[in-house]
Amino acid sequence: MSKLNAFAQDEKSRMALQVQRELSDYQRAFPLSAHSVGSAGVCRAEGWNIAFQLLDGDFDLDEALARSLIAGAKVRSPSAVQASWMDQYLEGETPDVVGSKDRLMFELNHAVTGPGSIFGNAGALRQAAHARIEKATAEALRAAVIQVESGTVLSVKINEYMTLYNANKSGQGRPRPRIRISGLPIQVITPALGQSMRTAAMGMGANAVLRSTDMLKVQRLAGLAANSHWTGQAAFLTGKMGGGVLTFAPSAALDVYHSLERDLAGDLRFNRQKFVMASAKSQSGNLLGLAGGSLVGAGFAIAGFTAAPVILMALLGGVLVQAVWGWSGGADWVRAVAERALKH
Amino acid sequence: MLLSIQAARTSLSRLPLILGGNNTVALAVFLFVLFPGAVHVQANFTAVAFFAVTGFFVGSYLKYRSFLGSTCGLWAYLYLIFVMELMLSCAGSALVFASTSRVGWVWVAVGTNTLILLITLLAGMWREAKRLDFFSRQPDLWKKKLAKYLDFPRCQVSPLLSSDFPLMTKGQVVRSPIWIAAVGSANIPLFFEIFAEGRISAVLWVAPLLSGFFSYLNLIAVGPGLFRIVLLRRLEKCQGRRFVNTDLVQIQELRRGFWMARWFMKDFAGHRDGKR
Repeated sequence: MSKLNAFAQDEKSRMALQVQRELSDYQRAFPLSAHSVGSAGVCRAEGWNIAFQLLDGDFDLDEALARSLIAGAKVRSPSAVQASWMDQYLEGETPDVVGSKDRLMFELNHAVTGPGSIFGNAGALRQAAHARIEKATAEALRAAVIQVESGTVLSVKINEYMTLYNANKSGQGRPRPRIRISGLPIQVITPALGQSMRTAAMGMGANAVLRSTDMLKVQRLAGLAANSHWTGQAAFLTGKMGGGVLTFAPSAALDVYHSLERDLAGDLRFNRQKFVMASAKSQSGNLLGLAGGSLVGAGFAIAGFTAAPVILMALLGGVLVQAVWGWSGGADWVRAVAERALKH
Repeated sequence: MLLSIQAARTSLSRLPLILGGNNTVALAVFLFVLFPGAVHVQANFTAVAFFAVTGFFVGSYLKYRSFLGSTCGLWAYLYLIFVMELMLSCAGSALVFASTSRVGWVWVAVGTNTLILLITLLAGMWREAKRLDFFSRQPDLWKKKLAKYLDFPRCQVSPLLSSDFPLMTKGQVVRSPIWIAAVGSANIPLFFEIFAEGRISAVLWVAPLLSGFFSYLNLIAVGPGLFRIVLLRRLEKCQGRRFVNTDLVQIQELRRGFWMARWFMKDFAGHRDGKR
């Protein structure tokens, strides 16, 4: 493998890791059940599009999925699958020992972007493995794999969406299990912006906000500004901090902006709950910053310093107080209190 | 530092709140950065509440009853250095490392920051000692150089003794510029939230600015002022009596207008023209 190719592989696996991390963060922040907005295809301002689609197609059995199935089967009945070709197929081709970094990269690469995988996208894979394929499906799939592998049957219906069949119809060589999926409802999570937009992130985004008349684009860029996951390269800068006359109005404007949602019919909706919670988070920080800044400034004023150091100290003190407030979880706590007050 | 009548006019009446509030802010920022997590919350809140109440009562004492002499001045310098400077800037530099998950570096940052501020303080004191010829062969040269702030027959000391430095007021009144700064301090983090990666990013600028600016203040104003107060106390020891703040008479006039002054205040006349 040439150096350039190796670099491309590294870059690819790095991007895959990044996408997967963002998705897992996102799904942890917004659990799927709580996030299903009812109508299909609601575009949200967080930078991800969520849509419900029906999945149809013919797929090779995905390695990562199959491996997790086989692993589950192994725990329950150690002797059942051990000698099968699938075991070799699954275990044999990996480049390195379990637990090594290369192995992790390889698996993630295939799990997320592998060309023959059942679900080419990490969100769908996660969903399939964790939500749709329940224990029964896993059992059925395992049994079906064993049946197809033994060559006795050509196809096994696993559930109403899935059929496992043998793609090797010639009868020679080892059976090749494939899976046919028809009408499986899945929730598809895709980034609202393309890869090129991602690198251009902040500076470009701000200009585009000012010029664009396309509300949808503006909204997506607002999502971009709101979501600190986007430029994940500068990891030391990431922190989820909240978004408060002159002190409070700019934050309020930003909160209103983030509370505007647009549904698929094109109507703008103002999410009042979201606004109240966002305000509680941002304005509490602003209030504390104002109080802290004034106090530190007053302290230096009575110590006999002139206006310049007093202004500078009040400025720095206020910013520091806000940062500590957000960092130590105070802002999130106030947001949670507001959320509780709204829900009850 | 010795309180002048101008500084007293602007903020002496609010001193309990200012001291209590500053104690709260400084200690809370310091403790919640260095001892984060649910384990320490109760202890942190207790310490902050205790410190805030202490600040309120010390502020009340200073507001109504203090003579505002050299003892008060020395404590004010220690407060400025250890609470306002060290706690705030140590919290800032610790937060830089804590927010980037380099927890092992937090105490190193605190130690380094403390060391830098103390060294600059000593350097400021050294600078003032050289300027007053404290180390010269003639033992009393520094007394002559300080004599313009002192009234030996009346035993009075001018507040200019501790504020005759750059960036410190020399008799002029500072109109409260705090609101400008407070508005800025709410909106600067907002800019960081929109254009950078959230409000925490502002700390990466604030922490070095805080340490650097405090170091500068230590060199040009705080260190020299502290050294002069120490010399003043030495002088008092030689003389056998305390020097009285020149502005104390006016400050007593001011205090008579404070809320509940009739009960809280100790209404001595002060020294006018050396007589009681």
